Amino acid sequence: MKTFQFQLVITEKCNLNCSYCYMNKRPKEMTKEVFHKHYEILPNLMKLHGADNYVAAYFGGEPLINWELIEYSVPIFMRDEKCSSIFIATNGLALGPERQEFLRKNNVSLSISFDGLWNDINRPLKNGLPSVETYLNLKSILNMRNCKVMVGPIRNNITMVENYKWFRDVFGIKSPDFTIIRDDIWSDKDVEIFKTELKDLTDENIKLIKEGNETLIGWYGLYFLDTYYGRKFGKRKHGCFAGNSGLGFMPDGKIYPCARFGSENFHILYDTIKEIEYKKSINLFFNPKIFDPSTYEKCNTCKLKVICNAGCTFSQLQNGLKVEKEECVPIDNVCKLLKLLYSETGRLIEEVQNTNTFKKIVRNLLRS
Amino acid sequence: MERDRRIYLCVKSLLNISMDLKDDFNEYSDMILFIADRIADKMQREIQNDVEKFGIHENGKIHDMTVYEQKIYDKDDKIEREIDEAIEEARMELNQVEENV
Repeated sequence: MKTFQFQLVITEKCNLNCSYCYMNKRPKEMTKEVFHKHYEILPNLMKLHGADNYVAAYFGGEPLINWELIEYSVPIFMRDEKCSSIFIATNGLALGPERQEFLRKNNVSLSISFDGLWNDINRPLKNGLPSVETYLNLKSILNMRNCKVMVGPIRNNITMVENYKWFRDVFGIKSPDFTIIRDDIWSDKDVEIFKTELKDLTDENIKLIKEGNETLIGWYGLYFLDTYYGRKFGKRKHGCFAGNSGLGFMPDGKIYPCARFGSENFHILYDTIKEIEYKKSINLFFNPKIFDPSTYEKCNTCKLKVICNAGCTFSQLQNGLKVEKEECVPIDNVCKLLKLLYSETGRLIEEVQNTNTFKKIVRNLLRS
Repeated sequence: MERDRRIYLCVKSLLNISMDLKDDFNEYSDMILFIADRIADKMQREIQNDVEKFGIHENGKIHDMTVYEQKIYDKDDKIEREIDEAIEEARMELNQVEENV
C-alpha cells in the first residue's frame, strides 16, 4: 500500500514575490468548513488511489499566512492514525519562536525554501525589496537545516559554487537541497552555463569529501539513490505524486492533481462544495502515459530510462499539448539538465568511491 | 500518527540519554546510533521491548551493553555490504551516461 499526499493549499497569498512561482496568488484562504469538506472525502480518495496512510502537506502561497487553520487542523491530524506525518512547505519568514515551538511539539516537519544569494533577485519581498537581509536577521531563530534551493537560469551573476559557499560559511548549511526548476524556461545557452557551473560545484563537493567533510549537496544524493534503487528494484511507477499518489486540495473546495493544476484551473477532478466529479479528468490521471515515466515515448531511447523519474507532470502535459497530444512529453532542455546531473553524480562517485567519508555519507543516505 | 508520536518520543528519550552522557557520549555513540537506526527503520516496538528487557531507562542509564554491541557488529556487517553494493551499482550505471548533451 502506498502513502497518499494530502496537499492542502490553505492559501494562495504570499509575503514574497518569487519570479518562478507558478501560483496565481488568488486572495481566497481555506476556511475550517472547506477543510472539513476535504477531510471528509479523503478516505474515499485514498481508497481509490490504493493508499492506506497519508502525509498532511500544507502548501501555498505561503501557508503560514493561514496560521489559524494550521493550529486548528494539526491536532486533528495528530489524532488520526492514518496520518503518517505532517509537513509544511514554507519560506519561513513568519516562523516566530512560538510557532516553531507549536510545530516542534506536534512533530511537524518543515521544508524552508530559500535561494541564498539568489533570493534578492528570484525571491524578493512582496513590495519588491530584496529579501536576503531579512533572512540574515532571522538567522538566529530559524533552523534552516532542511533548506530547499531552487536553481533556475537566472542567478544574477552569482555562480552555484559562490552561492553554495555562502550557504556553508554564512548559514552553516553544508548540504543544501539544490533542485532544478523543471519548467520550459531554459534556453540552450542557459544549459551550457549550467553545465559549466555544475562541474565547478561537483569539483567543490569532491574536494570537501576528500578532505573528510561528510557533505553531499542535495541533488547528488537524490540521483545517487534514484540510480541505485532504479537499478536494483526498478524505478517507481510515478514521476511525481500529481493525480496519482496525491492530490491538491484548494481553498475553494475544488480538488486538482496538485496545487499547480489548481492554481491554473487545469483538469479539475472534484468540487467538494457542489459535490461534482469530473470523470474525464479523473480517468485521464489513471492513464500511465500521464503518471508513469517508463511509458513516455520520448524516454524509450534514453540511457537514463531505468532510473530517471522525468520532470513536472503539469509542465510535461503542457508540453504535450504543444504537439496536440494529451499525454506527458518531457521537455528537451530539462532532459539535458537531468543528464548533466546524473553524469556529474557519476563523476563524483568515481572520484570519492574509496574514501571512508563517502561511505559514511552513503550510509546516511541509505538510512534516510 | 500514533506511530510517529511514539517514534518522536523514542528520539526524545535518546536525546535525553545523549545529553546525560555528556563527556561519555563518544563511548556510547555507536550504541545510540544503532538505536536511532532502529527508529529510522520504524522498529520502535522492538526498541521498547529491548528497553524493557535490557534496561535502558528514561533516566539515561544503560545497563547491559554487550547485547547491543553484538547487534551493532551484526548490523554493521550487513550495512557495509549494502553501502559497497550501492556505490558499485550507481557507479556502473552512471558510467554509461554521456556528459555531452
